[in-house]
Amino acid sequence: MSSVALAQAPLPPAEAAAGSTPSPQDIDRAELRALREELARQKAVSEIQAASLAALQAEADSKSSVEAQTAAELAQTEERLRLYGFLDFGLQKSWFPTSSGLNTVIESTSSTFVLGNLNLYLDARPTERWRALTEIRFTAYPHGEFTEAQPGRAFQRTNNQVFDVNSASGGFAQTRWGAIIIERAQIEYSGADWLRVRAGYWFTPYGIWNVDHGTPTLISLSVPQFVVSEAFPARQLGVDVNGTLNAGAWQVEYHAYVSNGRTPGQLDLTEDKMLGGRLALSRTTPLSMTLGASGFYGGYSDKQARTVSFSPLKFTHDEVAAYKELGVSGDFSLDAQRLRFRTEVALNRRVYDKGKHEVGWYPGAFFPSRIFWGTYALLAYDTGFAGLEPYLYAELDRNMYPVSQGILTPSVGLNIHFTESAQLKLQYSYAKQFDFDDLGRDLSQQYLSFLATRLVVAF
Amino acid sequence: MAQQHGYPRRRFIQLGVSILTVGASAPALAGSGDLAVIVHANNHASLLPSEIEAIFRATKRHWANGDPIVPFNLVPQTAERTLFDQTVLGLSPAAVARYWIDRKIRGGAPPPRAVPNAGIALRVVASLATSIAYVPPDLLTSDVRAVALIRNGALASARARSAPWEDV
Repeated sequence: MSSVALAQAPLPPAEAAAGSTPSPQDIDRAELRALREELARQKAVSEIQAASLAALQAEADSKSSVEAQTAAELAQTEERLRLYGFLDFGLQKSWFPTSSGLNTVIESTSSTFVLGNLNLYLDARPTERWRALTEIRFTAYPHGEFTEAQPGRAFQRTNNQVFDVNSASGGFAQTRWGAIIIERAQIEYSGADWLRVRAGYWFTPYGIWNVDHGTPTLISLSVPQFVVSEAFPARQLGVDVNGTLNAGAWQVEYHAYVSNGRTPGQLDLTEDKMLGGRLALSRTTPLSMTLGASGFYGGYSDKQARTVSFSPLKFTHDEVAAYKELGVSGDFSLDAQRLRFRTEVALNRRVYDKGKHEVGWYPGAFFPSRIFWGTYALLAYDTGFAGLEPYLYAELDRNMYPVSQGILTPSVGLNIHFTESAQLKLQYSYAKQFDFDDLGRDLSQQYLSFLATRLVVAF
Repeated sequence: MAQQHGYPRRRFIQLGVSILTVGASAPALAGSGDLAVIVHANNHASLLPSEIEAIFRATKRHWANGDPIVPFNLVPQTAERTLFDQTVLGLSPAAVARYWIDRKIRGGAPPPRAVPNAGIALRVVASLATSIAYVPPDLLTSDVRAVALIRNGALASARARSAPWEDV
């Protein structure tokens, strides 16, 4: 534009030189006039350039302002609804003897592809302080579910194959209907950093594994036994007050909750609610670490309604199982450069009311009051090469298993991070069952070798 | 939190040192690779480096008066964003991406919104009283206030001693 302006700048008409020989004064005057004309021309050009520059600046400012205003408005409203989640698929194979107790729960040692998790998050934020977070896992269950091969019990398999009467094929098509698992459904209110409330169905805030819970986030694939046997309830229905406080480089996180605790059905059948909490200290410098402790206390009760008489009409609610339980856990995580270390321990002390023990593993048997616990340690190293992250894992658990008191599980694994959201996870585990006490049982055949792989994508 | 990737490499300069180190005027502070963490001019909050980190990790979400904090990042893969993440969060670009995936899976708060360039970040902060962002110091105007400075790969905040920073 400036070159155009230059070309269009008004130029004074040139004057012809006088016919007679000019005097020195005439020459000076002519030069002066020429200089003045040149100055005027330059001034005009400069003004045009300044005007062009101002116009361009105004245009840029206007565009930037609009973008800034848009960003500010978007930030204030945030996204009202976000969808995200993860999906994993894999191949797995197990090896165990034909005399292993695992034959009752594992159908085959054949290799098989598996659809692991398809979890979808619905994250709604109707206003800036309120949030409704739902995590749904879609599954093909209960198709294929089978009864444990217990002595004297007939084998049965669930078949969810149905005629797809809505199909355009005329009703001859068949399909397998599946189910959903509500992983969590919680309403959150954020009043301040130190005061947040979540109400609904949430993951119990304890340890590492239960909170991480998703294959993209977990380092290992294998689920710790104390998580499987729920030394702490995996999820609870209730109200959790939580928050964070900053104390210098340390951040203190707390949880205090009241819930139904474990229930046989959808509702709590007693007034004694489960109380629990968590306290965690974390920092990110010079090393990223978290040290946490969690605990809970609660009761369980199962009741059966029974009609005693019709006239007069009378009912009773007989309590058929009841216990009190106490859980404590500790966890520690450390990130040091390329190294990741995780460990946690969880313990449950369960005391049954007299005559109200739950039915045990075998017909006619009942679970005793007991303490069960588990612990694991995991060490992973990011090689920085091709996304390779090998890890070592070891786990020790004590519980009342069908054929043993304990399980020791050394394991090795490898995660291959293709991108930040796509990875291949592999883990080989060897689980050996044993007794802590000398019970004289031959457990030499009670072991499991297990290879699990998962291709995981977070979206 | 527990199973995230994180490779902290930060060096924190203590406040007293930082106040002596930084200059008294914007031109003196400006340099290639420098960033100023800014808030609205009417926001008189002072922040520790750890609090700035917590804000951009979305673990600190409220100002002292209870108003929600609205942080703005620059888009990933820009030099300023990479410098900020490395210095303040102690995370590489890949680790940052993984951090936010982990946060989502755990049910945590979403990441800060990203704006395309520092000029827009400046204007957003100038127009939004509860916001916070980071820009090169030579862009600073009277509409915003610098609360911390990233220089030579270290984060220094002006908490408790604001005088030198008010000139920024």
